[in-house]
Amino acid sequence: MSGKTHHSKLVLLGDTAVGKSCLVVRFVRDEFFEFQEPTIGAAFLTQTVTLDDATVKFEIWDTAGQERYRSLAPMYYRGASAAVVVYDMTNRESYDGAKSWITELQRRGDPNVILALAGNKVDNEEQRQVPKEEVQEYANENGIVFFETSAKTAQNVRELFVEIANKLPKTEQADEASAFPVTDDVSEEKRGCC
Amino acid sequence: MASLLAESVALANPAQNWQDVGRALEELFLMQDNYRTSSIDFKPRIPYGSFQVKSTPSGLLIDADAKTLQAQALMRHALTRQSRTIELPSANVERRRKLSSSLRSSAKGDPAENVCLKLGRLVAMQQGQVDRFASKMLQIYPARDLEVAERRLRESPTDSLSAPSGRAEELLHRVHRFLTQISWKLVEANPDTVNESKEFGFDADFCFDMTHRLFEAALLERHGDLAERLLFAASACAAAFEDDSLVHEKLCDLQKTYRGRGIPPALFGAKAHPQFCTDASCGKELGPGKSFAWGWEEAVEVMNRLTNESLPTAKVETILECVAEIHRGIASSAAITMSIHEEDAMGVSSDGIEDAASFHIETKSEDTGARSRLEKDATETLAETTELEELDGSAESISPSPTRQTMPFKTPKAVGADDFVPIFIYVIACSNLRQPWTLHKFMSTLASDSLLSTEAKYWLTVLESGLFFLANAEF
Repeated sequence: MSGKTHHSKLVLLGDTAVGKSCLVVRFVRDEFFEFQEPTIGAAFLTQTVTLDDATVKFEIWDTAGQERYRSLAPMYYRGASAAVVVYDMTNRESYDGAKSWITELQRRGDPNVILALAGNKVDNEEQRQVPKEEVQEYANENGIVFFETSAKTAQNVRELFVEIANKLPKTEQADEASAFPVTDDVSEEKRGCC
Repeated sequence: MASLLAESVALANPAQNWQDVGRALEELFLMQDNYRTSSIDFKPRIPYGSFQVKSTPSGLLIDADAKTLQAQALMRHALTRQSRTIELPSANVERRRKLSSSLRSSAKGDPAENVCLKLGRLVAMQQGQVDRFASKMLQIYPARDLEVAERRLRESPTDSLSAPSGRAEELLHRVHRFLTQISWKLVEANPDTVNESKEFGFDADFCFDMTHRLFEAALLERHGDLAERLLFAASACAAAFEDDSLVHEKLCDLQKTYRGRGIPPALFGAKAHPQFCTDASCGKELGPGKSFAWGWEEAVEVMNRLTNESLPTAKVETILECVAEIHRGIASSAAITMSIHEEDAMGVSSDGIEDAASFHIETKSEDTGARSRLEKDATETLAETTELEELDGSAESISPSPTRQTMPFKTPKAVGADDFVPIFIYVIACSNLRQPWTLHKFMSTLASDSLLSTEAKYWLTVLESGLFFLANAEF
């Protein structure tokens, strides 16, 4: 299995201003400060995580967190193998929003998708509104990966993605084709009739 | 559950054993609890592919829309057992007659029919219209040639039409490969049939799909003229997609409503270019009789170029260019806002800021607590106008001591979907795309696989989601 690169589509969900894009920029370009460009396009980014036995290349799809664009999210998360729902731990509302994302993914998404919760802005402890224990309990109940992260200090950012990479099934992608053995079936059929 | 079983039973049985399929399916129906107890017909409704099979105490009832050959199989099974009834509730007599005669002829083992049966079984997994295709093909293509095509296909295990590796549509490609081979012979013999694809009686989706595959075949065979014709045929098919008019109407309405003023980006939660927000009107008049500019004209211009490009790959590249243009716009506006912010922080109040801040109706407002009003304004403007929100707390670090030293490297800003998507939707709304869905379908299906396996797929999703939003939102 080692040496194989697995491509994984990862979708980012969460309200606006919880730091979704900052989180992913921190993960993808840790050398952040050395860049002089005024902006970094962060709606789509890729980053590779090397594990002991495999390499996972994340294709990270950001979504618009505004309420009015909520109904568009399914177009983004279809076919994703992992979803990271980000909230701002200094903002209770954003955590409620995150939970509703989780519920939606559980209800409408692919059941095999790896779900993760990221409580961002943990560097800002004095303004905390969402207790870690509460979220941990929720995450345990729902079998969700959970980290409190800080895009500012990079705390737990890499850990979050490595954990997801570890959880991803490293199966070959040919499954879909072999599940419907169309070609074999046909050739047998042909032999039978002629 | 039952439908899944039925499906697998049907797939596991070769075409010759249709009766076994029917029997197995019937047994499955019998396993349903309410089959016997119910006194009413059609109790267990089993959606089965594109048609519905209902069991009744007297036999199987096949829905009028039964077009696939699995359905025909069931019908044949029912026909061979006289005690059973078979009904086509709303089908016309003609269709029913045709169907049963085709069933009878295939029972005799007509080779051409067999080819079509196989074709049908393959395509029936995806489409419900194969019998029409098969009969049309029989009309215009001699059975003998179909056989030749089939044999040739069988003799060449290496695919002349290799499916792009690693794509989710692998299955679809496998299914259609066979169909394509035969159709390819068809159009090769008589290129004019390309233009008749609509007469095949398929819906736009299927036509498009078919033409697309033929186009790929033509490219592989280096049959340039035909490829070109097919490309046009594909767009002609695609032009029939219904949703286009919906979006187009919406866009026309929007552009009519805001005629002379320009559609305000705020309608989509998008940001106007701050450069223009320093005007009281929050928009720049371009001159008498011209519309206002909101700062994304270049991107709109690029978007409009989509119509000029004819090749799908070139269209996708245009989309990427438009994306880049928007990013450039955000970058320049970030620079502008940064300087506005710096002025503001130094106590130089500017009307522009207030305009900019009040303009962004929908974006979040971070209550940062006990701060001076000025600082709060600045923070919001920063966060809202350019979402200068990278590293989460950067606004935090700026506000208490808003001096330049907090941004030693002119901290870059992460432009995520929160910023990008609204602007992109705004750009779509301002553009004059006549057939946006068709364009999207055209690009996402026909552009080269190497291009679509990259981030282009993401931007096409953004386009798709934007069209969906524009088609459904109320303004």
